[in-house]
Amino acid sequence: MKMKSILKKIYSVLLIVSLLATHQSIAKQKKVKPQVPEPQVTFEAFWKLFNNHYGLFKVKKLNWDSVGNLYRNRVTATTSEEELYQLFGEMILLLGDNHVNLYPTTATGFLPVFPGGLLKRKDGVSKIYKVQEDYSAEAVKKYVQHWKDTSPNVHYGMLNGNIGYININGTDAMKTIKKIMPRVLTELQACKAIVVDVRAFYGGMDAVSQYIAGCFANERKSYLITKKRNGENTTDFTHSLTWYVQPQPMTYTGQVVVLSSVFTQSAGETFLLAMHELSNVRVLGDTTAGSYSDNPTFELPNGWMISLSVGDYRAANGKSYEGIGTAPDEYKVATKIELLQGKDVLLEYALQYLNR
Amino acid sequence: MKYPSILLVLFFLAMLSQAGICQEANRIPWMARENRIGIAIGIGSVTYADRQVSPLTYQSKPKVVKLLYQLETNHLLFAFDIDIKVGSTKSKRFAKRIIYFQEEKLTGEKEDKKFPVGGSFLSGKISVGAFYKIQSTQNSTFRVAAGGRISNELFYPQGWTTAGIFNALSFSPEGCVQHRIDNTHVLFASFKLPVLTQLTRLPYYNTVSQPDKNLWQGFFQNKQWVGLSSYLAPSVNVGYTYQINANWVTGVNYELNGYQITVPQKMYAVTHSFTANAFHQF
Repeated sequence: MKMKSILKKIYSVLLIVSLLATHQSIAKQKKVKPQVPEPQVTFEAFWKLFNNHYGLFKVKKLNWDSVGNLYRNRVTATTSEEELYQLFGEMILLLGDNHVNLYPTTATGFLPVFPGGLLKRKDGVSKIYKVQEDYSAEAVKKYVQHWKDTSPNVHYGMLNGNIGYININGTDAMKTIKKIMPRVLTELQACKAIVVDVRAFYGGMDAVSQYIAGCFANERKSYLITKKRNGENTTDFTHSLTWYVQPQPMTYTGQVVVLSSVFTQSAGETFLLAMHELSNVRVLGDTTAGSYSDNPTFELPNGWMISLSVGDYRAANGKSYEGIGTAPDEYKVATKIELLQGKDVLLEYALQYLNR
Repeated sequence: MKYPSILLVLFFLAMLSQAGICQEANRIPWMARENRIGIAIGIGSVTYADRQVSPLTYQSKPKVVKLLYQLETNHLLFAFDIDIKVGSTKSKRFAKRIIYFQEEKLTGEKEDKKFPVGGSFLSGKISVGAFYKIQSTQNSTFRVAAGGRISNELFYPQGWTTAGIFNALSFSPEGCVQHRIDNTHVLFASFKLPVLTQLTRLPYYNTVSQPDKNLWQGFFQNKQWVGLSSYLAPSVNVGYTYQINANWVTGVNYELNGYQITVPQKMYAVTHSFTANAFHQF
């Protein structure tokens, strides 16, 4: 009897607590409605996010406190979403960093991602390239025989004159690339030379780029020095890490021509930095985008998202090419008109160069 | 979900408080040597906020699957559990966010692309526990066992940001209480608190790229041993089982986990899971 009475008491307490909980939950639900925070709150979060995480203030020679002071007064409680978007866009242009992207999420999706293209400063002016006009996969396919897609990011085939062609437009998982590259290189091993086309290599994992570059290396060379923000002070950085390109178990050490573009970005650019160090490689094309650092995405209190460069990445010579890009050994660019006619003058030039 | 948690903690405390009092006539030994293998299927709720990446709070309502193995002897209990939660995740406040890309092709053709902002949620936990049955309570209807558990838990939400990702390999002291109402109905509860944890979080700069390392290797480069001040993750588990016959047991279970992580920046999470269980006893 005693046991039953204790159980009864426990169940009664539980019942009362449940009823209270249910009542309070309903009351709470009635009160809660999603509210967008004040524009000033979002502005401060945006400013602080860069202040606490951005890795390139020194490289860009930009005083973020001054930028904050310049724009802070323009934000009031009545600032609209469009106005805030415009203002953040202006601040991003000041950074001139292609790795900074604003994702202004809204309930209807009426504000597009900014800059929504490649941002590059030329002659002191920031320019947004909405379309890649110096490369067309369709045009390339007219020159390449036996085109094979080994993964979404690696394609290869043969060009006239026993020249191999590898097209890399991103990075697969390390495990995948370590299976793919030996297979591709085995097939192309007998080629007189290989053209590696990274004009549409927009980014990915630097370590995968490092591995791919190692597939063409005949010696170990340092090519990249990285450090990343690790504290709220703008001078807080991790210790520097040196990256090396080194021969992989399966390598091609014959002549290699790499085709670059202004759209070659991020891990595509660290790949190029590695390839530049190799004596058997020549880079033809355009200067790359100039956005090397990792750029994770953060969120703002109003639900918008923003990616930003958290690192300071430098070439082996210690120089930062952020916002500048990696220059080719020889400048040559395919034009939109030619590409639409199926003519890739850069690829043709590479063939001429290799057949000399 | 806040109030059911309070409710269950009260329930757990009530059961503990009664442990010493109830010396009822039901004096069936706790159990002879016995193996139990079981599966639990149910639903859950996960709420988390990762201040390293976002001021927003995220929510997921995952499906829950657990595989369980228990071995019980006269003096000891052993447990091996695998717990998987799979679902989608989105911001609690901005559940219907849309992202809008304007794209243009070489031919001049323009295309607008709109995507809802969300992601997937995955968590997996594997744990091994061993408990000593406190003998003075073994002839009571309330029986107590105390021991410890080693767990590895991976919290892996995936979306536009890296919010909420961590891995915790931890050792937790754990206490279990069982109330055998009669030969078929059993209530039980347990409480554990990790005291030593090898915690892996993304670093301050939120990326894992490292020379010669894949993503996982880069991630686990950030592991560190921490105590309660950096990883506070109490867990309460309560349930009921019904003995169908000598070989089969069924039941229901509720588990509450709280997480407060302070490295490299603050993260909070609360998970609830409700499962229905079936065990084969042999």
